[in-house]
Amino acid sequence: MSQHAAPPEPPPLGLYLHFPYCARRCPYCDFTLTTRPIPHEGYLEAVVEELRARVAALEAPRPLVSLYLGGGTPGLWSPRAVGAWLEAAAAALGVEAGAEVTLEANPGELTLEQARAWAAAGVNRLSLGAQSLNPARLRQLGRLHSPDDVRRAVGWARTAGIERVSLDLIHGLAGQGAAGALEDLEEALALDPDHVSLYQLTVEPKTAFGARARRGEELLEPDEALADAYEALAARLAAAGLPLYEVSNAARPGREAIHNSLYWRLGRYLGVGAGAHGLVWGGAEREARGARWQNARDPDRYMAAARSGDLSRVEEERATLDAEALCDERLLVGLRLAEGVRVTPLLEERVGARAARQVVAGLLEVVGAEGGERRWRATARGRLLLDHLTRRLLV
Amino acid sequence: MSTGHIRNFAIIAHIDHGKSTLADRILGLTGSVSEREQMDQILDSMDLERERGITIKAQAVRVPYRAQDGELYEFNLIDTPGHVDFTYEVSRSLAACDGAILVVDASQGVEAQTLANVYLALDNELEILPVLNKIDLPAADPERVKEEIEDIIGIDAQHAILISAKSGLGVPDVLEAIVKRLPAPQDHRADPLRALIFDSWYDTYRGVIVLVRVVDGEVKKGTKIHMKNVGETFEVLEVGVFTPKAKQLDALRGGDVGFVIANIKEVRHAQVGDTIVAYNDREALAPLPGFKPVTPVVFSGLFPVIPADYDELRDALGKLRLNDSAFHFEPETSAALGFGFRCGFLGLLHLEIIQERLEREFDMDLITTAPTVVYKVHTNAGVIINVDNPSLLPDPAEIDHIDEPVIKATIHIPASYCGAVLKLCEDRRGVQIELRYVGRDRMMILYHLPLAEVVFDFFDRLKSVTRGYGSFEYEVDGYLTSNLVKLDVKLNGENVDALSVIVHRDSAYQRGKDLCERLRKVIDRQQFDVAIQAAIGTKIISRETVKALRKDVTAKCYGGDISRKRKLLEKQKEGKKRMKQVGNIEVSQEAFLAVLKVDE
Repeated sequence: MSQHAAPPEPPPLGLYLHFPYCARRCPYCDFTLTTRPIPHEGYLEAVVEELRARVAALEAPRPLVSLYLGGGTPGLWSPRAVGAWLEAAAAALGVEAGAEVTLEANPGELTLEQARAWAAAGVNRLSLGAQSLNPARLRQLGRLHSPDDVRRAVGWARTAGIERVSLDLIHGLAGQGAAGALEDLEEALALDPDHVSLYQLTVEPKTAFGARARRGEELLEPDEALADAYEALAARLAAAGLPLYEVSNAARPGREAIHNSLYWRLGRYLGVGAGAHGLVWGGAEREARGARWQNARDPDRYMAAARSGDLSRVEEERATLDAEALCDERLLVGLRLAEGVRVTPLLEERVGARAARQVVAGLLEVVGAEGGERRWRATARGRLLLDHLTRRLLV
Repeated sequence: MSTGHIRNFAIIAHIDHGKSTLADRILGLTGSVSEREQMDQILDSMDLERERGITIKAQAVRVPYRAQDGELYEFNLIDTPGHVDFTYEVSRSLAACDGAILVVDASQGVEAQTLANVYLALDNELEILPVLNKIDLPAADPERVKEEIEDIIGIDAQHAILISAKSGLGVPDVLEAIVKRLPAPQDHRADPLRALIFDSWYDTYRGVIVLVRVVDGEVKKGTKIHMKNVGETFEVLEVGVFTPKAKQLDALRGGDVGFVIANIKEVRHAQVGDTIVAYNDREALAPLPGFKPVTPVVFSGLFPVIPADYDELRDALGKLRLNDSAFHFEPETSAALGFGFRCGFLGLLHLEIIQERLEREFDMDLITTAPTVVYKVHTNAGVIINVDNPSLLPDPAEIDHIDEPVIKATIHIPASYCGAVLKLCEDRRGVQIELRYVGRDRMMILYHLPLAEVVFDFFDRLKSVTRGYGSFEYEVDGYLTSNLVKLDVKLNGENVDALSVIVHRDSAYQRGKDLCERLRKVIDRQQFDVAIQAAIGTKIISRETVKALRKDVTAKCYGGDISRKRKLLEKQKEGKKRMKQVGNIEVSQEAFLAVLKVDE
C-alpha cells in the first residue's frame, strides 16, 4: 500500500429511530419499550433535537442510505409525526436516491388510511411483526392479532403503494416441530413478501418467558429439532427464491434490507430516541477510530435529556473503539452474512491462524481469487454453530 | 513454684458435652480472663476451628488458683485436638499432662468420640477425674451415666462431680478436685533438661513458638538447646506462659508447661513429640519416649485455577509449611492442569483444612486432584518405587506387583451396631484381627484396612452407620500386596492425567463408570462428539458420549445486540484463562472441580 493512498471513503450512513411505545409488552420481548401513553409531539420534538446535535457532532456526513423506524411499535406514532421526522432527517443529512425507508408495525394495529399516510410521507418498506400465521402459536406468543390481520395488513400496504414488505416470523416454540415451522413459512410465502426475518425464539432472562423457563418450563424445542427446523426452513426459502442472506434473514436478491446490512457490514448508523444504539467510525483500517453508544432507556428521562441538546446526558453508555476492536466487530457481524467478510491485512494478522483451523474444522471457508479480494464465510454447518465459531476466532 | 503446687491437665469430652464451656468457666473463676475479654470459646482461637466445631491446635493456658487450703496453685490447662487424623498430636498433648478431666453429658452418657481420647489418656497413665455436666437438664440421669463410665471405661465414677458448666453450678468443686485428686508432677528439677514438645506454630514476628512440658531440669533465656530427634540446635530467646496472654518468665522448670522461643524458622524443626535437651547433653541423654516423625499419608495435587497464580500459590504453600510440619509439597506438572504442587497430608481432614486456608486466607482458587496414598511398586527389575501420584505409575508391563499401605483400625461401638460396622469394614477390603466385648454391651473391633479405603470417607461412614456412637483410631501398619490397577480417563482418546487413579481391580469398573458419568455432565458440548472413556491399560471399561452441538447461533444481531455480544466475548476471554486444553477439547476448571470433588 502506498503511503499517499487517497483517504478511504467514509462508511455509508443510516439513521435509526427508536420509538419505545407499545400497546402491551410481549412475553418474549426485552427491548426498550413502555406501555405509557404516547406523547406524539413531545417525542418528535425530542428526537429532532437529538438529531440536530448528532449531525452537528458527526464527522464526514453523507446522505442517508436508510431511514429506519423501529421499536417498540412506531406504527403507533401519529402519521403526521412520522412525516415530520422523515422531513427533518432529510433536511439535516440529505437522502440518497433509492434510499430505504422502513417502518415497523403490528398487523393488528394498522389501517389502510395509516398505510397511505406513511407512503405519502416517504415510507417505502414495511416490516410487519407477523410472528406466526397459526392462531394457536400467536396465542402462545401472547400476540393479539390473527393470521387474517397479517394477510389484510400486507394487502393494505401494497394498496397504499408500499411495495416492499418484510414479515417477521418466530419459530422454535416447544411442540412446533420442523413441520409446524414450515407450515408457518408456507403461509407467509403465500403472501409473496420480498423479505422474511425468521427468528428462532430466544428466551431472554428479563421477560415473562424467562421467568417461566426459570421455573423449569421447557419453552424451546430440543437442540436437534431446532437444527432440523432451521435447515428445513433455509432449504424452503432458497427454493422459494428468497435465500437466507443472513443467519435469520431471507430476501429476493436485490431486496436485502439496506438498513440491517449496515449492522452486518459495519456501516455507520446514528441511533436516535430512547434506548437507541448508534455506531460511528472512520479512518483507514489501522488508524480507524469509532464509538458506540446507547441512549437513556427511560422515555421520560430520555426526552428531558434530548431537549437539552446535550448528548452526554442523552447517552447512557458510550464506548470508544480502536482499530483492533473495529476489526474484530467487523468479523463478528460479517460472518452472519452469506457473503461473509472481506479479509483485510489487519484481520488476517489478528485471526488468520485461528481462521485456518476453523477452515480445517469445516466451519469456515475462504472464497475469492488468488491475489484478488478474499472473503471468509461460514459454511452451512458453521452458520448453525456461528457463536461457537466466533468464540474460536475471537476469544 | 514447687512442683507440688502445679497441676497439668486436659479436658476430654465428646463434642457438645461442654468442654469449651467448662474451660471458659475455669478461666473465668480463676480471674484469668475478664468479662470483657471472655469470648464464647476462648480455646478455639482459629475461625476454622470454630466453624468446624473441632479443635485442631493444642494450646496451653496457665491459671493461678487459690485453693480452700489457702495455698496458691498453678493450673496448666492443655487443650487437645479432636480428630482421628490427629491421634498422634493428641497423645503428645496428653503426655504433657498428669491428669485429665473427663466431661460426660449427664443425659446422653458416654459417647464415641470420648473413648478414643480416654484410652489415649489411660495409655499415658493419666489420673482421670470424671465430671458429669448438664445435670440441671430434666433428662439428666447421673447414676446411669456413672455406671456407664465404670462399665465402658473401667474407672471408678462414684465420686464423679456433678456440674452445670453453663450456669457455673459445681465448677468450684471441680477446681478443688483438681488440687486434691489430680497428681502433681514429679520433681526432677535437679536433673539435666528434658522437655517434651507438644505443639508448635509459626508466628510472623517471633518465629516458631514451641509449647513444652518440662519434665526434667529447667530451660531459660540463653540456654543452648538441641532437638534430640530432629537434630537441630537453637539458643533460647524467651520462655514464658500463656495466661492466656503471653507472659515472659525467667525460666521453665521441671513440671512446668509453657512456651519457648528460640529463633526457630520452621515448624518442622520443632516437631511435636520431640525432646528438647541442653546442647551439651545432646549425646548423653535419651529422648523422652513416644516420638514419631510425622509422615504424610495422603497425597494430592493442588493446581491454581488460573495458571498465572502459580507463584502466589507457591508462596502461600511455603507460608503454611512454616506452620505445619506435617504438610509437604513439591512442584508437579500435569498435562491437563498445568503447573501445580504435589502435597502430602496427615489425612483427608488435614487436606481439607489446608485447602480451606489457601482459599480463605490466601484467596486462592484451587483444583485438588483425587487424594491418593503412597504405593510401593515392585518392578520386574527388582526395584521398589514409591508412587504418590497415579500418573507416575510405571507401565503395567514393568510392574511385578504393587503393595499398598494398611492400617490397624481400632473401633469402639455399642454392640448393636456390630453387624453394620463389620459390613463396612468388609466392603472396604478389611481383614478382621479381633472382635471382643468391653463392658456390658460395647465392643472393640480391630481390623486391618487398606489406608486408601479409609482416607476418603471411612470415618464419616462409620459415624453414620453407628449414629455417631462409633469411635475410630488408626495407626499405619506396614504394606500388603494387593491387586491394584491404574484407571485412566480419556477424552477422545487423549489421557487426562489429572484424573488417573489407582484402585483395586474389583472397584475399577464402578469407579470408571462414575467418573465417565460425572464428566459427561460437566463437559460442554463441542462441534463434534466427545468420547469419554475409562480404561485400564488399553482396555476400555466404560464409555460415555457428549453429543456434538448442532446449533449454537444467536438469532438476532442488530445495533444493540452487537454491544451485548462484544461484552460477552470479553467475559469469555476472561473465562478462557480458566480453560484447560485436553487434546482438541476445552475443559473448564469448573468441570475438573466437579469431577474431583470428594463426595462419594
